[in-house]
Amino acid sequence: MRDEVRIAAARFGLAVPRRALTGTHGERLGRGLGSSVEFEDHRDYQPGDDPRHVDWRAYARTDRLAVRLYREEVAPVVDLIVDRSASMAVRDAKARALRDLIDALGLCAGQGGGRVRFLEAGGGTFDPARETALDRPPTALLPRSPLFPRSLRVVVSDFLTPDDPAPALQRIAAGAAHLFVVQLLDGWELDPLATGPATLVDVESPQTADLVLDRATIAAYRQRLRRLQDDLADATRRIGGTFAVVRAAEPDAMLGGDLLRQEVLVPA
Amino acid sequence: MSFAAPLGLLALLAVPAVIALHLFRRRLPQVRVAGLFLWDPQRLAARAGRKRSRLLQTASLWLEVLAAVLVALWLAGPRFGLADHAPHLVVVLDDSASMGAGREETARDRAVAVVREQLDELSSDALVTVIASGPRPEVMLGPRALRAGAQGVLDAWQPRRTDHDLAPALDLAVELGSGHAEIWLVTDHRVADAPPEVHVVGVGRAAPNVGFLSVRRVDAGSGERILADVGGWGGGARTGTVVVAPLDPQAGAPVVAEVAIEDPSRPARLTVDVPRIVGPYHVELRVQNDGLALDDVAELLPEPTVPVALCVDGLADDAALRLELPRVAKALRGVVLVDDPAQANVRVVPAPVGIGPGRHEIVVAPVGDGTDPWIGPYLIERRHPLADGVTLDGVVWTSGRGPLPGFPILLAGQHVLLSEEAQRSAGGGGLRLHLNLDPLRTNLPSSPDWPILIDNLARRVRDRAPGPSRVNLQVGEFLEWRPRDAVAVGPALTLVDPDGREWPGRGRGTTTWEARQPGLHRLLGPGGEELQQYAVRFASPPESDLTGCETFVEEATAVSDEDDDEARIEAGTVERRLLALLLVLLLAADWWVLREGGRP
Repeated sequence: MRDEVRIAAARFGLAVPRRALTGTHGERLGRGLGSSVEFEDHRDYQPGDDPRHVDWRAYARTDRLAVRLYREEVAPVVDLIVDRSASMAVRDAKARALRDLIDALGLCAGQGGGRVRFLEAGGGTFDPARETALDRPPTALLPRSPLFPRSLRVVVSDFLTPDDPAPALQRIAAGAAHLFVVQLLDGWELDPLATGPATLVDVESPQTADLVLDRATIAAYRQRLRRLQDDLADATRRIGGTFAVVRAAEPDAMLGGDLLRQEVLVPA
Repeated sequence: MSFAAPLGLLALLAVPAVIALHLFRRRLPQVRVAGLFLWDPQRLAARAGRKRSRLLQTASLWLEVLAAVLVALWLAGPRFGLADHAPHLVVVLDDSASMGAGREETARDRAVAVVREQLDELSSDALVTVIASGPRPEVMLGPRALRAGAQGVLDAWQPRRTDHDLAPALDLAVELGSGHAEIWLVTDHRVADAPPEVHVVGVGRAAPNVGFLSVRRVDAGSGERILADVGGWGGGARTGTVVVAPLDPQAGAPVVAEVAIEDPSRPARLTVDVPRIVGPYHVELRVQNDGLALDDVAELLPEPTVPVALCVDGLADDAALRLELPRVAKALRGVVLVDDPAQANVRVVPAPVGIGPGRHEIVVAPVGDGTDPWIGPYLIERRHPLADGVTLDGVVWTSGRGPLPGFPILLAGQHVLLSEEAQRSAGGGGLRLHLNLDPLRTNLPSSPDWPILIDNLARRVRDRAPGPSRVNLQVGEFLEWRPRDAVAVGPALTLVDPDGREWPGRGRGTTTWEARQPGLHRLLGPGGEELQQYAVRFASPPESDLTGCETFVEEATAVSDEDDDEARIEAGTVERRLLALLLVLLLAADWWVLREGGRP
C-alpha cells in the first residue's frame, strides 16, 4: 500500500448511516442483546440466555428471572465489492487508481474497528495486498459469496457495460445497511482527446472499431456516457444508496475531492 | 566486405514488400477502451481499410525496411573483418613424463620438431596457442599469440607430469580454437576419445624401462634405512644397482646395493641401511637399457616428527590403568607416554582443564547422571578424520546420559559418545576430545579401535603443528607450510624449485604449492632465510610403462579449413551475431513504436 493512500485515508471515514447496523464490538451502536456496559432495559429470561446476564438482585426482589439488556456496541461490517475485470486496467493510471481506491476505502471503513471484506464482483473474497491482477473476464456484479446481513456495501466498478446494472445493484442492496456505488473512470474515459483516426480496441472482447476521434464523435460519446451515468445514479437512488463518480487520480484528489463531495466519505 | 552466401542478398526483395504493405495498409494508432458500445458506429473512419493511400514515412516503415535489409545481410553472411581471420594453430603438448623417454633423442625432442614443422608452414600473420596437458591444462603460449613467441616456449618445455587425462587440455583447445583453428595433439600414445577436429600425432617409441615405484627413508635404530620398490616394464629379467649417497659429499660415502628384477610384473623390494645424516640422500637406480631417467632418481629428506606426548592427569588410578595407554604408546610411532603434564601436549583428564596452541586433551568421563551400556549399533561420522578406520565392532561402551559439547563423531541412538572441540586460535589452536565413557565398564581400550583413535588424534595434533606436514612428496602433490600464527595473514613466502624459479605464496593459515617437478625445493621466509626443504620425486607407474608408446598420425575426421565454405561462414560469426543483435533491437523498437502509437 502506498504511503500517499495511507496518509489520505487517515483523514476520512465511511459515511455510515444512522440506521442500526450489525457487527462486532466497536464504537457504533447496534441493535439486539449485547454485553456492553450501557444498560438499556430488562426482559424475561429465556432458555439459552447467558446466566451471567441474569439480574440476580432483581430475582431476589421480584422472584422473577430477568436478564439485563444492553445496547450492543458494534462496528460495521463493510462488504467492498470490486470489479476486477480487464476494463479496470485499460490504462495504467486507472489500474493504479483502483488499487489505491480499494486500499483507501478499506482503511476508511476500518476506522473505528470496522471489519472489511473484499469481494470480487462475480467471485469470492480476495486479498487486495496479494491479488492485484485485474484480468477477470466481464461478469455479473453480485459476488458469489453471500453478503453479510445489514452490512455496509460498496461497489467499485466502471460500469462500462451495455447491460443494465440496476437489477444487480438491487440484489446487492438487499439486506444492506447502505449501498455505495462508486464509478471509477480515468481521464481519457471522461474526456477523450480529438486525436484523429484511430482504432478503438475493446479490452474485454475481440471487437475493434476504426473511427475518427474528432469533436463530433467525442460529443456523441459524452452524451452516451452521461446517459449511462444518469441511469446508474437513478438506479442507486431508487434503492436508497449513494452514487459517486471518481476520476482516476492521486488518492488525495479521489478521497478528499470526489468521494467527500459525493458523501461517500466523511471527515474522520 | 565479402559474402559467404551471396544468394542471401535475394532477401533484399523484402524491402519493396515492406513498402508495399505500408502503401496498402495504413495502421491507425490503437486506443484501448473499456466501453466500445459508447462510441457511435456511424462515425467509423471511412479512410480505414485496405485501400491504397499516400505512403507515410513513419518510424515503423523505416524500422521494418532496415530490418529487411539486415535479414538479407544476415543470410548472405558478410565478413567485415571484425574477427581475426589469420590462420590459428592450437597445439596441445602431452606434458606427461613419458614424453621425456629416450636416451639420445626423446619423444619430447620429436614433438618439438613436429610442432616446429607446423609452425614453419604457417603464414607470417598466423596465430598460435600452445597448451600443456595436465589435470589443470596450462596455456603456455597465447591464446592466439604471434607465431614468433612459440620458439622460446618449445625450448623451455620439459614434460614431467604424472599420468593424467588429456581430455581437459583437448576441451580447452577446442574452446580456444573457436571452431575454425587447426588443432594438433602431440603425444606418445594413441588417444581413444580425441575430438574429431583434432590431428593426433604420436611421437613415442616403445621401450623397456625400470623405475622406482616407491622410495622411503625411515629410522632404523641408530641409523636410517632406505626402502624402495623397483618396477620393471618390458625387457625381461634384469639386474641393476641402487646407489644411495648423501647429497652433500662431505656427509658420508655412497652405499651401493644390487637389485634384481626377476619378474617384471612384480616389483623388486630393496632395503638399504645407511648412516643417519641431517641432510638429504640422493637415491639413484642404474640399469642398462632403461627408457626413462625421471623415475630412476629420488631425493629423500628426514621426515620431521612432531612427538605426541600423552600424560594421564587426574584420572583415578583404576581408570587410568584400564585405558592401557602404555600399550597404545608402544604400538604407535611418534606417540610417547610421559609422567609430567608440563611435558605433554595431550593430557588425558577426567574434566576439561584448558587447551591452546600445542595443548590438547582427552576428557574421559561419563557425562550426566546415570549410565547406559551400549553394544551398538553405533553411528560413526565417517567424514571426520578422527573416525578414520574406527569400526567399534564388538565394543561395549558405557556412557553417561548427559549431553556432550562439540562436534559429534560417534553416537549410539541419540547419545553422543565421542565429540571434538577444535579451538581456532594462534598456532592452530588446541583440540579437546570428549569421551562419554566409563573406563571401568567398557572393553574399548582392549579393542583395535582404541589405538586407532589415539593415532587419529596424533595425526590431528601433528596437522595443527607449525611447519610442514610432510617434506617428502611426489610430483602432483601439494607442499604445505603452516605458520606459527595461523590466524594472522602469514609473511610473504617464496618456494624455489630445482630450476631456480620462484613461486610466491602468502595467506591466512596453511600455504600450499603444487609440486610440479622432481628435486629439492626450498622454502624461503620474508627475509630470504631458508625455512624448510622439500624433496619431490617422480612416481607414476603408467608413465614409467613405455611399452605402449608408438609413432603414428591420426588425421582429424572433422577438418576445419579456412578455405571451405562452411568455415568461411563460421568465420563470419561475429558479424552475423552483430547483425542478429541489431535485428532484434530493430524489431523491438518497431513493436514499441506500434504499441505506443496505440496509446492515447
